[in-house]
Amino acid sequence: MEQTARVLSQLGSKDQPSKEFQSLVRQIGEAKTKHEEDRIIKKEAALLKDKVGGRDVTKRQMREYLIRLIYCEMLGVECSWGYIHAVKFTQTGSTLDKRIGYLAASLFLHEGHELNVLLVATLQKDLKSSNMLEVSMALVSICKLVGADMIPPLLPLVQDKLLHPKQLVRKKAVMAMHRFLLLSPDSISHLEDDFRRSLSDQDPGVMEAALILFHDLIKNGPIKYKDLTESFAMILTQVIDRKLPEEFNYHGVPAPWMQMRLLRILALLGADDLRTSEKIYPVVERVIGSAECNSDIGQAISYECIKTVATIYPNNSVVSTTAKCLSRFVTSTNNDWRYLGINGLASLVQVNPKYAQEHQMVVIDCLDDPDDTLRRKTLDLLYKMTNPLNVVVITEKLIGYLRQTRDEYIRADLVSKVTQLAERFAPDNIWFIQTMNAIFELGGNLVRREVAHNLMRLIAEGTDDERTDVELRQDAVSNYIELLDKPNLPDILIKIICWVVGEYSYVLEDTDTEEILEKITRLLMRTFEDKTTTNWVVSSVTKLVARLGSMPDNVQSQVAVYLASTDTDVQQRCNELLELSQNLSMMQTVLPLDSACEDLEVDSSLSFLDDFVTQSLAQGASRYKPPHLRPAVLQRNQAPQAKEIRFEEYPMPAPPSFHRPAPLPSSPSPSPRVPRRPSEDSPLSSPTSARSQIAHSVTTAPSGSLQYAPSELSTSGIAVKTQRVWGNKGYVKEVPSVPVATPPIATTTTSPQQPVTVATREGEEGEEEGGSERSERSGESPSKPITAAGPLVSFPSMLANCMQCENYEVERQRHNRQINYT
Amino acid sequence: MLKFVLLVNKQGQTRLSQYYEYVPVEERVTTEADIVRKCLSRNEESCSFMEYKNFKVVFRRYASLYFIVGVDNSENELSILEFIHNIVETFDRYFESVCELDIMFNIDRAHMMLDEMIVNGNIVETNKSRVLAPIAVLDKSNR
Repeated sequence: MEQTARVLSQLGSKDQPSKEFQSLVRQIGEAKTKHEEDRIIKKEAALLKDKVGGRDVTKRQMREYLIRLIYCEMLGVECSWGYIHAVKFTQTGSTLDKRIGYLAASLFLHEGHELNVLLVATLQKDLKSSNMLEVSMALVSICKLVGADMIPPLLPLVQDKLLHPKQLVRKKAVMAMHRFLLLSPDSISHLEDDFRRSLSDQDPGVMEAALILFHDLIKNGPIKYKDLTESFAMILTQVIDRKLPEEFNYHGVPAPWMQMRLLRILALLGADDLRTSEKIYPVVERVIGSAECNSDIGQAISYECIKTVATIYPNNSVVSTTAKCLSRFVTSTNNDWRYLGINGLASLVQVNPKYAQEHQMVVIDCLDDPDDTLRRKTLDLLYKMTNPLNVVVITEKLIGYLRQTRDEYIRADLVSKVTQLAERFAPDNIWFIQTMNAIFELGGNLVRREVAHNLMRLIAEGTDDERTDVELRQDAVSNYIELLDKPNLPDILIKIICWVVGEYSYVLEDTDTEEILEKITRLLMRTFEDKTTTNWVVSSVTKLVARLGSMPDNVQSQVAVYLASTDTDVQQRCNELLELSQNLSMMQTVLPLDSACEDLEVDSSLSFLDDFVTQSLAQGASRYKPPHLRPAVLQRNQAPQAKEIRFEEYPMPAPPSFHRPAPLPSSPSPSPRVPRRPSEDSPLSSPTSARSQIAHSVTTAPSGSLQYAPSELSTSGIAVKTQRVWGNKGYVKEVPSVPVATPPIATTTTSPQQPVTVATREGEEGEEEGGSERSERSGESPSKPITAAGPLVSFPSMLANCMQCENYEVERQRHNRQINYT
Repeated sequence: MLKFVLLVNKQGQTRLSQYYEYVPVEERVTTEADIVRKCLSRNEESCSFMEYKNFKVVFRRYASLYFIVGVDNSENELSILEFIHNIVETFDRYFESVCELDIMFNIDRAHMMLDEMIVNGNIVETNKSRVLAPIAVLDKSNR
């Protein structure tokens, strides 16, 4: 309690937490179990959900709520309803509010989150702000949240900030560029010069950020930056010469992390390149010389040097200096240092194996160290140190570790390592097979399939020496037969066993084939993870039956069960087995011994069936028709195939035929219509004043392409009552003083007709309206039908419609009458 | 590259977590619990480094608090160990002899300090004065 009071009193300029927050912290602090903590946090989340959406939340309260939300998420309760509040909080308020808002947003959201879009505008605004803190917090948030699609709007602003007077902003701008690089290297590929400028920035902080940027640029493609090698080497030299201000020292060591990063960059640049490496040797030697060997941080730098030297082009004197440095690691009692020593040895050994010899004893000690991490690292080292002389011992160690570890990642790693070692350095085949058997047994599902096939091929092909072959096979078969007694073998191992035993059981003279057959048949009862394993078992049974010369009853019954299997492959094999077993002497010819590597001769013309065919034809069977002569196919080929683009106009759709009602009394005179202002827009274009509309339409009508609401289209005199409430002026509730109705006209296919139509309308308008104030849109004449017979439909379309109309003649006359009005 | 920074106490309760690669909330909790369990089971003489799944974990204990940093395989473990110490020293300077409760009541400031030091999973600023300067300005503007 006193501690809490002390902490609270020290808060000083920071907000004093509310009672609720204090109690939250206290409760979390005192919670004894995870369960209890969960309960507290869920309650808190529910409480916050109510409060955060409240109406009178002050800025200060909101800051606290956001912090408490951060707590909830940290302890495992997802509060996605709160994210939007964080985003909103970035937009208004003081600098501190903004910072808290950005912090919360960057903790809650992530790249690709849907709310990120809302932040883009705020980020742009803050990037342009004159308050340097706001700019820097925007840049920080960019680093955390931006996705590749958000780069374009932000890139120019960030580029500006690379030249900001304040080092804080410049540094963060460089890191924002770094983020862009990670997301999409192409987006910043044009800014090379800017980056080089940042690298030679006066301020070491900005330069350090530029180093990070260049590190990743170089990782992507070192060749472009080889010219910078000398610059990097020079920077490193300056650092160790203590040219940087003292505040960059850490426990007396000048900018250690910067040194390490420079070393890594130099390693990338010098890899496999003698000329570049030559520029690096002097500076690396100096770094090794000046690194303090007694402190952790000094040793960290030395370790980085070791890694660098191991990566760049080897030079004997440099390497031997490095090796001396390494021995300090390996022989120390500090486990951390020993760990690094083992690591370092692993990399140096690739350069020159002799270094492993020097420290052999230490390595062997580390193998049995109680520290698990150290043991594992030593195994890695052993793997790298393997050669044909020590492969047997080393693989034994690795397999031993594999036996007792449970971690999936470690097991996969070890399996692949042992497989590689066995394939590369196996002293003889028998050892190889035994090792591989152990691997299959321990981690069968982690081994690649090709490895199993290689193994089988090895046994099948053998060597030129007959005797070793026989020995090999005998060894393999007897091992496998023993293995069969073990339960839970992995599928891949079962497959191998079945195949080897099936093919080569005959080499063991003193075994009982029937017994072997029994064991294999028992496998049939198991279900395997990999369904195809059953096929292998059946094949094996087949071969063994052939070898045995007889088909025992229990085998018969077991196999018969699988005749009904849903897997067709299994079914087929079982069928074949049962059929073949009817004629055992033939079976033995079909399945000869030791012929796994022989080619099969196939008679593809099936000449042995010729007699059968002639016999059937004689009895009236129909001759074989090759596929291209079969009726169904012929038919398909004759059908028109070309799908050409049709260029002719489609005919107008046939109108629904129904009884046309008599035109209503009010309709004889066409309703007054004013052509709308011609525009390409939809009928709902922006409102204009009635007058200008008319004026405009009068002047442009003849050429314009008028568009009319299709809803008012009616064909061949359907009386459609529609009341237009939307028009140029938007929603119309009242009658405008000047008629501004826009008559609908069907868009016609041929434009020359339009002027006629329009002129018609104008004519009508002049004649008919006269001061009538009816607008088609007005609610005053709801009963006014809009008929096609009116000036609504242009002639050709109407004509097309009326072609199907019975009263075509009538329609034509009516239309002519309209035209005559002009 | 750094993957995450965690501050966890001896009971396994998370006091601060910052992730540099997106991990969904539920997965975080289980991973954190798993890693903490492994860290707690190690004794004094063993390494401060650990291999976990396909990356590495560097941790250091300060009184009742474990500072845990997850890194990928290319990082120098010892340098990260020293970096953790640097973080602690920075917190110390800001809070004047930091304790667990300090971090709990000022989790926002702690996050801000980490934001200054680690960006895009890389160590950017290790100079304590520079890390604390913007935070001081923010504090002043709040007064």
